[in-house]
Amino acid sequence: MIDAFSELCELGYFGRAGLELLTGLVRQEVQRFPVLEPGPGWTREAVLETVQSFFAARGKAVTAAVLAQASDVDSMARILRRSVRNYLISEARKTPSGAVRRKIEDLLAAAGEFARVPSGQPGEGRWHLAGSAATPWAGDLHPLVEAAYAVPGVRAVRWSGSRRSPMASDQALAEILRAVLKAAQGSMDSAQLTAVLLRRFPVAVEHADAALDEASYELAVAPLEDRPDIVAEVTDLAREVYGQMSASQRALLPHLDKPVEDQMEVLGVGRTQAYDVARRLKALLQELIGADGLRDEIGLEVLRLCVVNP
Amino acid sequence: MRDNGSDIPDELLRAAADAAAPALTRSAQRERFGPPANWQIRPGQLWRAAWDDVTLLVLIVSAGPEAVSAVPATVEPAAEDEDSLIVDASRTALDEPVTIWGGLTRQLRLEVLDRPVDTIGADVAAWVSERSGVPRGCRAGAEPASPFEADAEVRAMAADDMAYLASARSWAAGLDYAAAAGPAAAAPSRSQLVELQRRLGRALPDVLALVDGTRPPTAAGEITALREVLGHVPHVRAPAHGLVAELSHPRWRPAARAFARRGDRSESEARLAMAYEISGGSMAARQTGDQEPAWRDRVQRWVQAQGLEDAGW
Repeated sequence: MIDAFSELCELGYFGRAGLELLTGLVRQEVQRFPVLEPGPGWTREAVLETVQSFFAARGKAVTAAVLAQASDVDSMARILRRSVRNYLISEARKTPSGAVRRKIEDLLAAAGEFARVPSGQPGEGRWHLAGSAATPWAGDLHPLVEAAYAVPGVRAVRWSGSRRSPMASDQALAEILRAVLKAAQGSMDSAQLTAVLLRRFPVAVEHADAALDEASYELAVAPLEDRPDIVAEVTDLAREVYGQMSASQRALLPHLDKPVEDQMEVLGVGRTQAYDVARRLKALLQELIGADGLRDEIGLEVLRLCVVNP
Repeated sequence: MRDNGSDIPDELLRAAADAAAPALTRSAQRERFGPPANWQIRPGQLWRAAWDDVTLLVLIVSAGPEAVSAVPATVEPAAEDEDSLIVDASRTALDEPVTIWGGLTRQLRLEVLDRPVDTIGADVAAWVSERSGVPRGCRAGAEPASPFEADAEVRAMAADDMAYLASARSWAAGLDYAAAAGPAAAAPSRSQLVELQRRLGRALPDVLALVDGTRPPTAAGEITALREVLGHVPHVRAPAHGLVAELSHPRWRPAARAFARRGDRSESEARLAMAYEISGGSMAARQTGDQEPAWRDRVQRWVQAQGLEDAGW
């Protein structure tokens, strides 16, 4: 039977063997994203559906990328795996959107500065700044995300024990929505505004990452309750922060002040990737712990958790 | 709807066929770039670079006799930074936008280049080195909104892969050019040559190649026999620089790979063996003081004689 790579090189597209290879990779990768698991679990049907969605979103680019870059079936599988993982991360980012979307809609409805496009007009039901242009916005999210980041003085709220993503105070969120709608110079629906806010608060979506091998990953994601050997007490907040960290980040935190060579070894990645993970971790900690007076205590407690249960 | 023998849905098979990249099939590439012996490296080309298990698309910025200056090029996932250029799909055979990572330039030895993929244009190569103006059909990349965006990860992987490719050790790294032939060894006597033939079970030309250093001893038995019969192991002459440079060119990589498979060797070992075989045939020319041979022709003739010109392509 022809191998998936030779098949692809001959045909110029994924044939049966290529799609079987892709399906196998998707089946492995979806295990890292519990938030995407459907009710009945990852049946063959569910996996194939994910393959179809992946292909609808990325098929043409992936086909070109593999044909151009792969030299054999092993490198083909590596390239595909990276693409699949990246796709699943972007899908996972959409999942907390329900609660975020409701929050946004509540804020928009409560504040007088936001208005809805009346029925019968283009973009009816969308939101815009009262007294400003209401033409439906369309385009690249990028400048709107930048406008969201540009709002100064926004701090994550210390939440009280639920596992929801940290967002900012209502006042800060309203300021961000104002800035985004101003940058859009038109009307946007709540799904679009949600997408922008999720990119502004990516802490919500750091569910899974790619840096660790299977064994380290499993150990790092095991919930604390499953580790009866851990008897130390922890503060609620440190535990919540710890719960928001990905496997790589937990493994890296005890080594954050060490030379990058040590970090490379811990993560099993090259130099630039190690710098990248460290930078994201620092940004994450800044986002979650902020600059309040208890920062050092919280930070130490999180560190202790990572050392005890890396 | 399922087909017999596999449950890949028909609609997925159709979607896959719709996503085809016909310009990148083996036959299309053969037609576009010709047989490997004809390959040229030019600024503005996209090449696949491959070494160990790292494969990466690179844009050639400038090309020299032993190395190229190159930057990584990525297609999927879509990513960019403020140092990058995004080339429009219409300008590439990939029919997808290609990100040229202008901030990640490296020197790559020729032997890590694998095969040509596309010609994007010398103006894009010029943008990398000069940054004078955004070429037609391209746009400048933007800084990612946050460190959590996938852009940083894609960039980091490309940077690490480039670093790995740049550190690849040359197949000719162990060759000792500095050592001269050493104190002139006495020419072997007839009886010594006969003895060597007997012990190694080899014909006279093979034995002579070992004795005058044209071919390195590759088996333990050979080293022992030489030491015991001659009293020393002859110094092996390194192949000419020109030949080493020529054999490093990616045009001979498919042949080197096929030769490697034949002899169950690594690619580097295969190139070394090729160098000595081709070099041995040229020793006479060097000894009589003729001009440095045209190595490309010599390699071409050897590859053809070995039946390797269509190998792996």
